[in-house]
Amino acid sequence: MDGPEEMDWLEEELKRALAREMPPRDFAAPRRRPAWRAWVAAAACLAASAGTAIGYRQYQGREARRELKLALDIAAAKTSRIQTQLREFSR
Amino acid sequence: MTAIEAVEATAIDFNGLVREHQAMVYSVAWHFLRDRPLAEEVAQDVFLSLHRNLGGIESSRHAAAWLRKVAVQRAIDAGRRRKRLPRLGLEEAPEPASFDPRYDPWLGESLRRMVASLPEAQRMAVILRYQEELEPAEIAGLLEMPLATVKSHLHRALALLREKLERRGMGER
Repeated sequence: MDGPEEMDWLEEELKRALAREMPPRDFAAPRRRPAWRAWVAAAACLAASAGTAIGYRQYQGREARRELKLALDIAAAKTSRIQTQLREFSR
Repeated sequence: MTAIEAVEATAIDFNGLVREHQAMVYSVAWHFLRDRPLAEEVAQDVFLSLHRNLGGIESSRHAAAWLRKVAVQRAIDAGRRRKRLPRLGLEEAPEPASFDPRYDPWLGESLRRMVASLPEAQRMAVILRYQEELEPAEIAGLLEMPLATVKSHLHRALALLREKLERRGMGER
């Protein structure tokens, strides 16, 4: 079991059986948003590219918002799961 | 390279880290707990914790090690909490009574169930060894236990799995 030693059949089977799996719901998958918001975002990007300093600050802001949104999405999914469990429990 | 590209190249990108490591974090919890909703909850907790601690993360490699350690701890905690609840997990569920070794498409599933029924420390050592492909010394560091103990857990776990498989006619092929 130490490094270069060859794995036997059981260890090979274990590697196959315990291969990584994606979660049922991709945490990082982009969420759909209304088309008008995409246009607003595109316009904001164009405006941001007008000046490097302004663009850079806006880029940082967008990144921070994107991160926060993902964290909030994860938190919302967790809350929704707990609510479902509570509903099932109270039945 | 523009300023934006420079930031993109060096910044710790939370979304990127989630994308890159979600399978690892989720799978540690799933293989340990054998409960998909609970594993998903553990993975969510781990990433929320990463978001709160993003300031202390120095690189993608650091993030990977950090996430693996937190995933291991949270999965073990969730397993211990679950033990206190009157709940029937898959590992307690009865296993199929008989197998046909010639036409067994379920070896992987059987192995996952058997791994899930191992004692806590053996189970996590096996997951880190065969899912994460860590060396015993790395597992010892992660689980904060002596190397000899990790080797003993792995040895015992393999012996137990071999014995269970042989009892079911699914031994060496």
